[in-house]
Amino acid sequence: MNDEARLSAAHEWLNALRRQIGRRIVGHHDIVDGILACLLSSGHVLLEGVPGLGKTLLVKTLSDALHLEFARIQFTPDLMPSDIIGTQVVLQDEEGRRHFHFQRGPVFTQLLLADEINRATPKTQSALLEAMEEKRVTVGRIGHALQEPFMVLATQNPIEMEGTYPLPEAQLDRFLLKLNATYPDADELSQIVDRTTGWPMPSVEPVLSAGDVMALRELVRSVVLAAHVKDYAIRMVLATHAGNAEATPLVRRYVRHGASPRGLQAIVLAAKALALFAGRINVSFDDLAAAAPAALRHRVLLNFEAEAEGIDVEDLIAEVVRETPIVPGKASD
Amino acid sequence: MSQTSDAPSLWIGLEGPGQAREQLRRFVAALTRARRLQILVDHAFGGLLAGLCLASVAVLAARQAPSTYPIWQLAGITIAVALAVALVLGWWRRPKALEVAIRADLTLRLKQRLSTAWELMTVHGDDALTERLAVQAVRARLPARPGTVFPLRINRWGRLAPVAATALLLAGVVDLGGMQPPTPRKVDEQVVDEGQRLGAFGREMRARAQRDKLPRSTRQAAQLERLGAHMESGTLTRDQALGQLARMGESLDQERMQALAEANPSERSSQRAMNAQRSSVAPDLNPDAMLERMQRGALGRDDTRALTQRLDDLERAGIPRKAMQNALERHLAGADDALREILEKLARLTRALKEDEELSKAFEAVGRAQDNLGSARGASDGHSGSIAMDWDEDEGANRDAKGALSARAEERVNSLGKGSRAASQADSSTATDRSDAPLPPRADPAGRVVRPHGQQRAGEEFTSQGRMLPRSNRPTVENVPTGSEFAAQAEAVLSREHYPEHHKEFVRRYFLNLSQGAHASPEQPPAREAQRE
Repeated sequence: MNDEARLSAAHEWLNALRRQIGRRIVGHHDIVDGILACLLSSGHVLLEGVPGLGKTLLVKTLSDALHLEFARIQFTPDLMPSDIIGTQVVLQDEEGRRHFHFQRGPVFTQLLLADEINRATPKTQSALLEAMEEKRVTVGRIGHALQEPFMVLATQNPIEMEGTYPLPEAQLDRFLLKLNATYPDADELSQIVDRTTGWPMPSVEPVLSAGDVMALRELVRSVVLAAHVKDYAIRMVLATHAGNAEATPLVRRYVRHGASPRGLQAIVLAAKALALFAGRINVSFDDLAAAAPAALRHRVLLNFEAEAEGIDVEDLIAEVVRETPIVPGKASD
Repeated sequence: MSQTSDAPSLWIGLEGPGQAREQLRRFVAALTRARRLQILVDHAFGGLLAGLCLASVAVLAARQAPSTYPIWQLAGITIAVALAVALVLGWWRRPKALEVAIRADLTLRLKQRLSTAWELMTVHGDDALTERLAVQAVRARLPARPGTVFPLRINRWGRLAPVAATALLLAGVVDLGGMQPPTPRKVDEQVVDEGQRLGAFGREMRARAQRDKLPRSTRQAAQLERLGAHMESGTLTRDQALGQLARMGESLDQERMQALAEANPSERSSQRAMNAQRSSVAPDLNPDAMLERMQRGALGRDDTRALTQRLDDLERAGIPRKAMQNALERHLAGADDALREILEKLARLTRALKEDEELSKAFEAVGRAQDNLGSARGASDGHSGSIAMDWDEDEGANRDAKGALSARAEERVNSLGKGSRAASQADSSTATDRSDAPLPPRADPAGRVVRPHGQQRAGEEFTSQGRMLPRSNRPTVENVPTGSEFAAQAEAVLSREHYPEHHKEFVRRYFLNLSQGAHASPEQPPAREAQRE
């Protein structure tokens, strides 16, 4: 299959995947695109929203639309790391000899839904670090590779703080994008009621296999990023650093730590996926600007003053995107 | 985040190999030319605006300063230079192709298809990826005419140009004096009075100059009249009036010198002619009338007799006796050319002398106004609370300057000769010789050496009233004879200590009283008195 055919097929696959998800999920187009961008960029996604917005349903629908193994872990305060990655159990063979056997945990899957991830202790949350970054799990002295494609979709509730453990920065940085689920509007609510309270329930057919997903991942990485477009992404990330000359006034005042290089990688990879969704083989400034909020909102850490004054990181990133010049020194004529 | 809605197409098929790249090269080249033309036009508008602004400033400056350069020519040159500089800068600022492609991408909303393809073409050359990008760019709504991407438009500088042009027009035609808002400031009555006098003098002088057909005097009289009106309007401060009077005096002096020089280029003979002519001025010797009669052929015996009788005077005026006699003989023989030449020369001398007289009178009138204003300022600046001036160092310098001015004026008046002096004194009832030298210190009946607080010079009398505030940080004590017995010690002690100034003054007075043999007065320091009050 040549490049043209691959791209045609990719577009067909993506449209089909969207259609399948759209049969069950109403609205949330940005979130769907974000999750697909993460899937095609080999990243993980953190979904944040109040209960009842369909976060878990969205992830389950995605798993239904893909020929991928799916597992779900409901994070609770008493969840242990071994409950995620697995544990050594003692087995007795037919000859009566006993030996240790590694019992794989639910992390050994392809799509892992970590529901309400902030309810588990940091120790348990950290059990996912190696799996997310290196796609493997080490138990004792033995490392166990995870099956590709592997993707973690975590959800968390931003309003219930009691009995929760906010994700540490290292854990947050592992998520390529953080997507915020918002309330649906009236039309969307009407459709939701029709679909979820009637009969038959909408069904979703799987349209992509693991091999298709891996092929799409290759295609995403082959999207061209021109040097002047890359400069824009770099300047945008540097603008989140309070000490940088290109930092905006809000950043200078309220940011404790700016985005890491992983943030820049996240912006570029997500932008490449978005360019592919749009049928282009080059990244545009708009792709980067569209990917920036989801890639930066969990990587920019605000200081105490910002917390005290109720500064929203979304406003801060919006200002960064707005104020970063597309072409440095571009005349306004 | 969704961009799928505006996806133009799925994927673009390849056409002929290299065709898309060549098309892209041509398009970017055309875009670059269009952008360059746009930059030139933009710079032209910028230069035009800058030129108009600079021209407005230049015109204003030219109108304020006594410049004879035509203001519109000045404005034209300024605009042309600014325009030329802007165009040269625009010519040197060549746009880069990648920059042009980026701008075109933004303008045409091509999602960086064009700039990415161009960048990879220039970096990677001719590979398959470049070709695919080129095809993608060429297929993406490229306009047929690059001029639509970079149109020749009126930029913000161009939009501001009419405003600047209006400002230039206003700067050139509006009466600046009339534009100044009426500021409620105190009118200096002395300046107004001098303005009235100068205005009246200017009107009389202009009438005389027009009657005698003296162009220089007419012009200067008009200027004098304008200056008088300006001063009379009360808009000039005393310093401004003095400055304008000084310039007027210089102008009058130059005009007078030029009049004499034109009448007779040789200064020595000019002076001699002037002296002779002053003595030969008489109703019966009018060269202009004689020339007129000669042209009519009616030069009579009375005229030749008058000329014959004034041979000595004419010789002093630079006309040799022999030449005059020859001219008269030739006239009697029927040839008037020599006599006409002499009479024309005489007419020129007469006119120059009249110009000299009028301008000298004006010069003196200006000098009087300067003196009066300068003296009155000295009186109003005094700090003694009386009419008499308290000569401090600054006023002494002022006085020196005025003395120099008066000396210069006197020198010029002396150079004019007796006739001129008499005429000027006849015109002015206030012109008197004044001595600017201060009165010397003298011994009073008690044997103390005193010097005057100030003095009012002889001449025009005036009175003024004023309420003087004490200077800050300076004691307001009256002049007293300076004792030296304890003064040095007191000053030495006071200079070492950091006391408030009024306490120092109290101590100083105490020791000075001691030095004069008086008892120490039981007065308290001023601050304490003030507290009691």
